[in-house]
Formats: sequence, structure tokens, C-alpha cells
Amino acid sequence: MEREVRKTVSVVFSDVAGSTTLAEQLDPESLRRAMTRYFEVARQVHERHGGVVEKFIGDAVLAVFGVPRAREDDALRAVRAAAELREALSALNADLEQELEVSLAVRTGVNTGLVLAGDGRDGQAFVGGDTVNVAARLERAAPAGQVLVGSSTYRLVADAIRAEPVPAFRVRGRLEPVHAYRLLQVTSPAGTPSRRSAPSLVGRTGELATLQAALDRVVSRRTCQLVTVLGDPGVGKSRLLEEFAGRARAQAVVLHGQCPPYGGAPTAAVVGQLVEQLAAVAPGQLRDSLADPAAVSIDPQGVFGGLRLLFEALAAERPVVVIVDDLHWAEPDLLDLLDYLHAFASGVRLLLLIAAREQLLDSLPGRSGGFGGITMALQPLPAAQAAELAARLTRPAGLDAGMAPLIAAWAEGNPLFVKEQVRHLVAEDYRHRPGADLPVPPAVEALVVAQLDRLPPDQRTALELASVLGRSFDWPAVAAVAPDRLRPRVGALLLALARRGLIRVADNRHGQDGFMFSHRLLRDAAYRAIPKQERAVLHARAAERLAGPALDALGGADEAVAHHLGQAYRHLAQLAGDEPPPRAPAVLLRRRT
Amino acid sequence: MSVTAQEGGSVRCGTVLAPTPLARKASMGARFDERRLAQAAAAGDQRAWDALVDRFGELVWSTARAWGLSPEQGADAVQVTWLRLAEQLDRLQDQYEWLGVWLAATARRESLRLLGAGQGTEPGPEPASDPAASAGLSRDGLLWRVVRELPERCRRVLRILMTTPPPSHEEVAAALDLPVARIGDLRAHCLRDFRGRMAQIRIKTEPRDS
Repeated sequence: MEREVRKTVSVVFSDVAGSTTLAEQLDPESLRRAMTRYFEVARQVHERHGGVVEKFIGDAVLAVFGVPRAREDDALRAVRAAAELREALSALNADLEQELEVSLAVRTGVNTGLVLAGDGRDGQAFVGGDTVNVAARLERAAPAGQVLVGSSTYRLVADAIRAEPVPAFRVRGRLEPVHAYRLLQVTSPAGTPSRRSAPSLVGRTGELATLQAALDRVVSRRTCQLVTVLGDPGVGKSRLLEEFAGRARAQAVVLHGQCPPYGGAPTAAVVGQLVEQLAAVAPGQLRDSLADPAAVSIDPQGVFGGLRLLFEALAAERPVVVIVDDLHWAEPDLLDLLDYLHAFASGVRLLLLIAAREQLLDSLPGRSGGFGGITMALQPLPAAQAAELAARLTRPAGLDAGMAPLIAAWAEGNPLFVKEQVRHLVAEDYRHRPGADLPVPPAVEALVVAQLDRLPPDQRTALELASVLGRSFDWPAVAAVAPDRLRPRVGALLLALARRGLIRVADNRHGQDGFMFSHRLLRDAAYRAIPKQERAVLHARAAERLAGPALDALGGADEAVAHHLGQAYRHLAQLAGDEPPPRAPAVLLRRRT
Repeated sequence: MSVTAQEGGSVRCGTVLAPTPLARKASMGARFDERRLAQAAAAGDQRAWDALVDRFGELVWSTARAWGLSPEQGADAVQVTWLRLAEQLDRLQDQYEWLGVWLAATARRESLRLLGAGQGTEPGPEPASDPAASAGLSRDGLLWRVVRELPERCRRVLRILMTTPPPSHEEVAAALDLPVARIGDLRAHCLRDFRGRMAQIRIKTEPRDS
């Protein structure tokens, strides 16, 4: 069933500058040929970065990043596509000038925001609304050949691009002026996520000691050891490995590979990175064999064996630490390679250190226990440490010191969430009202929604059903509210969700299989994705299940039943025209003189 | 997201629907120290005033809507209610801990005054339609009817009870001009009525298999 969802996407709006003049200069057939070539180039560029060309409007192209599935780096993908389109155009222009003696100049606007979109479950996605309008205005305001990036997009990609602000301008129908940035350059290399400068590490002494012990064992026993660090997005896997790498460099060669989230062959990318760094540190005779790192191909026989020999040769001289980050984006051959190295590298001081989200386990058929070696599940920071991190970040940012514990509690120990919240509150010039919930920064929202959008449909449905029951829930309750088709499989679906780290096994005291959402934001996002009417039906079913057959069971004592009935009523009443209040009801400025 | 965080509500048993004021105070800790906020607002602290508007905005709105005001009239009633509070905040010092009750009562009075001015436009409950026609009703129509056919008194009670954050019995009583002691029974009665109506159409309201 198609349902419309509100979701955050990034849109790229491009138009050919001066196309009317072009139309006068060129005969219609030549013009059509030029435009067709341009549309084809635009489509290819956008699709390469995961965008969907939503439509062609006259000579304009609207591409959307985030449908049907949101990804946490949609904003950066959109900006990259816009930049690449500009480059691709110069190649196209070289051809067009030769053939038709014309060249095209394109203006582009990139914007990020909420849209109402089909959820794409049946492959359709329609996007409209203010976000698209503003992107179109940005496009119109851009000089020919330039890309203007809206401020909401800019905030999400600021660490990955160079851009300069342009004077704010007003557009019809909007009270607030539009702030924009002229894109100069995308600085973070294609295919890598934008990692923001890391704050000083808080806590993690136990984890660092475990890693150090593994390295010590590798050195003393001349053996190969594999350590896998698993954890939620933002929990601090990369930061931990970065800290460890810094310490390990005193006694070992550290090589660092990073799986790109998209953009072709991740295995080749990682092998290329490792070989390149190897070439820089390898002794003379090795370096010769690495003359052309780019020529490395993914031939299992050749590369696997070759890499092993390289590592073995290097590790004979010094201990080697090979870090591969974001392994959840990898393809099976990279996992095979790491498995192979772990199994076959012998007599060498080699520490293989892998970081990945828990979804990695889902992509490891036949490796349900993960890789061999040590697996470390990186947990959120304890409350005190999260508060310390928040305090360290809020102080220089000029935020009220009292905000630190609020931010730490909101983030539930996730250091990235802490960091993004501090940035967001500063950028928004946030004024806290006692008792109010903190906002959800767009970067965090993107990360959370992307986790949900990546789920297979049935797991997604199971997660949404669970969200109706609350942060904590048990298996029979989910089964009770599930549609018939899913009911027999609810247990398996919940376990799959637990394996992905979205929910955790929580409580077995009552003999029920208890679970809990790993983060409140996951629960909220899953709940929000359910249309109100479905929420009402699901709440009513939950109440039925809790109350049992007797209608009289509701004696006013059972608050859980009352809660679900109340929510069911609330959603239905809203559908029947009893809408919730405007979000900012009648705030009177109360000035005292 | 802050809105939905409250909408769905994790199952906070014991504080979900109509906690006593004591329970509410305990559950919210110092977050809603209404007396402190009111004092600060009276001294001209805009943030404290905004916090009060956050805290009670939905209660005031719900009260106006529960009495049948249209969204436009409701907005007027809300404005007037807050204006009254701004005018009288200094004089209300002995009621600062009962500000919700005062606001609910004021919103009710202002709503009735607006209605009394002959502007009532909100239709009452839909007349029950021909049962023969209901057989052909879509699921959406059935659900809609459950709400529409609920007795007006129950719609009113539930409308207030569903306010976020959950109002105290005293606030509900003030909003609806009912004795405090009756709120618990009324709530149970109306939820039971609603539950029975939902159960009647259960077959047709299986969750959509999305």
C-alpha cells in the first residue's frame, strides 16, 4: 500500500542558463540534440550518487536524494552530484562546441528539507513542497555555471566542502530571507563519509586497553589477530580506532582503510588505500613490486595472496596494524579477504582491526558469530562521561553550562549525537525553555531515518508495530498487534532487528521475550512513520490485548490500557478534524517597563 | 520530533492519562515547577513565560475545542485566555501552583462567552446514518464514525484527557466544569464506551499490511 510520508530529502535543481537565447540561435533539431545529451549526462551523474531524477521541467532537472530510501549522507551526495554535473558539463561542452558550436551553462540550487513523498514501497516517489521551491529559487539566484547551496544543506556538509556565503535574499511567499552559499569545491574525497573533526576522547579506557592487549599479544607471539569493533552509528567506533592508531604508531606501522558508502567497488577502494600506504612505508624491494597501486585488481588469487605476502614481508620488519573502518559498506569479497588474511597470515605480527555497525552481522551469511578473533561491542558512553563530553563541547561553543547534562541525557550516551546537538543548538541560537524537549538535529535525524529506511519491509513493519507499544515491549505484544500474515514470523523479525542493533534484548524476568529500542530516537522515528489512522488501529489492538476479553476490565486502574485507548482516540479524533493546536500557540510577548 | 515524542508516549504507567497533581509533580520532578515559572514570568522573564505557554498551551486549546469552538474561534479564545493571564499574573500569586486549573477555567469561560455571542459553528455529533448505508462504509469511514458517534460528553472528556502533557483531574474538572471526584469514573466510562465501539468494527480494522 502506498502511503505518503514526511521525510527529509536533499534536492538538486538545475537549469540551463539562457536557454531561450539558445533556442533562438539554434535550429530546433540541434537544440533538441544538445538538450537530450545534457539530460542524459545529468541523469547519469545523479544516479551515480544515488539520486533519483524526479522530473524534467522544461529545461530544468530536479533530482532527489533520499527517496525511496534515506541515507545519512544524502546532503553530501546531492552536493557532490551538483559539483560533478558542473564538471561533466565542460566535457559535454567540448563536444557540443565542436559539433554544434554551442555550449551550455547550468545554474544549480541544492536544498535540504522536509517533503511529502511517496514512501517508494511500490517504486514511486513523488516529491513536492517548499523544499523544492526554495531549491528552484536558489537555482534562479545562482550565476551561470555556479552552484548555490541552501543553509540547511550547508550545515550538513560544512566539513566536506569549501563554500562562501552569498548575501541573503528574499523570495516571494517566505517571511525569512534565504541564506545560501556558493559552492567552491567538495573537499572530502568522493565516496568517503564526512567525518567531523573529533573532539578529545572521553572514557573508553577499557576498550583501549583491550586493543593494546591484542597488539601486545600479536607482537609477543608473532601471530595474526583479528579484532572487530561493533556498535551503533555515532557510538564512537572510528574515534576509538583513531585514538588507538595514534598510540600504536609508536610501536607499529598503521595502515588505514575506509569503506566508501557508495560509488562502485568498495573492495578495490580499500585495497587501493592500503596498498598506497604500504608503498609509502615499505622497504625498497617491496616498493618496487608496488609500482602501480592503481593497477591492483580484485583477482582473488592474485590480490589475496599478494597482499598477504606484502603484509608478511612488512610485518617481518615491524608489527603492522591494519584498520578497516565502516566495514558494513563492504562487499563479500572484502570480508573474504580479511578472513583469508586472518586465517593464512602466519608467523607475522599483524593486527587486523575492523569497525562496523551491527548490521554487518546480517551481511555475513555463514558467519553468524561474526569473524573469528575478538568481537568488541562498543556501548554508549555512561551518563557521567557523556555529560563530560557535552560539557567539553558546550563550553567553547558558548552554550549555557546547564545544557550539558540535558544534551547528554537526550543523546543517551551517543557521542556523535552529543556533538551534533551542540552544533545544532549553537547554529540555531537555541533558547531552552524549562521542560521542553530538545530538538532533533537534521544530521541525527538523517542517521536515524536512514537506519529505518535500510530495513527489509517486514522488519520495518515489525519495528513500527513495536513502536506503538512504547520504548520497551515484548514479543507476544508485537505478535498481538501484527497483521495475520506477519504474526508467525514476529519472533524471527525481532531477532533480526536485535542483530542489527536497532532493538536490544531487555528483560526476561516475566518469562516474556522483552525488548527495548536501542535509542528513543529510533522509536520516535518508527512511530512517526505510521499514518495516524494506522496508529489508532494499532493502539486499539494493543488495548484489547492488554485488557483481555472482559469489557469491564477497564476499571480506571489499568493505565496501560487507558494509554492505548487514549492514543487511539487521539489519533482518530485528529483525523476527524480535531487537529492538534498550532505548534506555537499565541505566545504573547510580555514586556515590562 | 519533540511533538511525537509526547504523542506516542512510552508507556509511562501511572502517569499517562490522568495522574493526580502529586503524581504529576513526582513524575516530572522539577521540570514543571509551575510556581517558580509563574514567579519568573511575573518578573518579566520571557523564557519562563514561554515555558508556561509550552506547558499549558495545549490544555487551553483543547478546552476551547472541547466546547465546540471552530479552529478560528479557538485561536481567539486561546489568545484572550493568555492575555487574561498576562494581565492578572501579579494578582494570582496564591494560585501559582494551580495555574493549569486557572487557565482551564478561564479558557472555558472565554470559550462559552464566544459561543454565547452566537458564533457557534461547530456541528454537533453527526446524526446516526442509515444502518444499511453503514454496511458499505469503508474502513476509514467506520473509524471516523466511531469518533463522531461517541456521545458528545465523552468526546469532550476524552478531548481534554488526551492533552499533552496529561492534565490533572483538577485541570480536567476546571476545563469541563465538572466535579473533580467524577473525572475518574467519567474517564473509565468513556474509554470503555470507545473501546466497545472499536471492538464492534474490529474485523474491518485489522492493521493494514503495509
